[in-house]
Amino acid sequence: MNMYFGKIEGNVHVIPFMALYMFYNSDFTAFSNIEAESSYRYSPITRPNSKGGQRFIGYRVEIKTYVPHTAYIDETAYGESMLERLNTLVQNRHDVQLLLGKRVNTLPAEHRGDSSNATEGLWVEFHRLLRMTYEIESVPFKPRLIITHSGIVPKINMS
Amino acid sequence: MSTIILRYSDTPLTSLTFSGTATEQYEFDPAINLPPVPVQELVQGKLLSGRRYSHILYTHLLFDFTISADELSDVIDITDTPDVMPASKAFIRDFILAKYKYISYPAGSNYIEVIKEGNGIEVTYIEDYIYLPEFRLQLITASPVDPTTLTNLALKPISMV
Repeated sequence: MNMYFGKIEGNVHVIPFMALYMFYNSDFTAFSNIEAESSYRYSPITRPNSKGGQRFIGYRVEIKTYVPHTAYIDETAYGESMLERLNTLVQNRHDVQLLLGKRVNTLPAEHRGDSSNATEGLWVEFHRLLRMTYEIESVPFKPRLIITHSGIVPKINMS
Repeated sequence: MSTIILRYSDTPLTSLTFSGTATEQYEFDPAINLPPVPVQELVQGKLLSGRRYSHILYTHLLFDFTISADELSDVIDITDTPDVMPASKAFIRDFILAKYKYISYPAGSNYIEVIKEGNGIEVTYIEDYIYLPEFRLQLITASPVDPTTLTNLALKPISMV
């Protein structure tokens, strides 16, 4: 079947990075209302072949999620703090999902955040393939959490 | 055609005619596939008269190729755990461990019996990531190669064979 991608009208959507979901040991951790600097990137890994070309091997993935929330040590809501949960996730491979734009959102209403002006939505999924680190840096008046996922995947998977 | 087929067996093949239905064989498209190099064993010396001589005892062909991760990680899917060994990688393991090894070069040609050069297995991992292996295989013909095969294969890129 021939495919044409020329028509612009109705085919260019606003799909911002809305939320980071992580699943480990049947526990769910979500960060929504993340900062606009948050980003994800798939970079191809290639190696030269003997015909003068490049052989595609896979994708290097890096996801940076900038989190404005500062409730790092508060245990009142869930019985463990955000830092404890982050430490668990750092030490264990877990599933990662990114919510882009508007999709069916599994978060409680008060945690969904603004739907922004998204006109389309996507899920980006990674099955135990990424490792996570986090850092906390100071920005004016408050600390800021940066969660980084990185790894190598064979193909881009969106739904 | 730029692919090769590797085949292994626990007993010597009774026929070197290529078989598309053989089970213990696998087709690869190596990322690096160097033209086969003739390797000669010579008897050399110098006569009392001072004339030098060099007699060719045997000529073998050395196949040198690298099968990269794109050929070895085909079952690592988003829905699978990467702990499953791909069939292609398992084949390389079995090929290396097998007693009798054959190559069909290029794929579909009659088999040539080969042995592995060296003792070790040259495996490297791209970005040090264990699920992106690369195997370099240097295989040399088990028997001396006849002049016709030499003319057909030696120093020719596989696409010209």
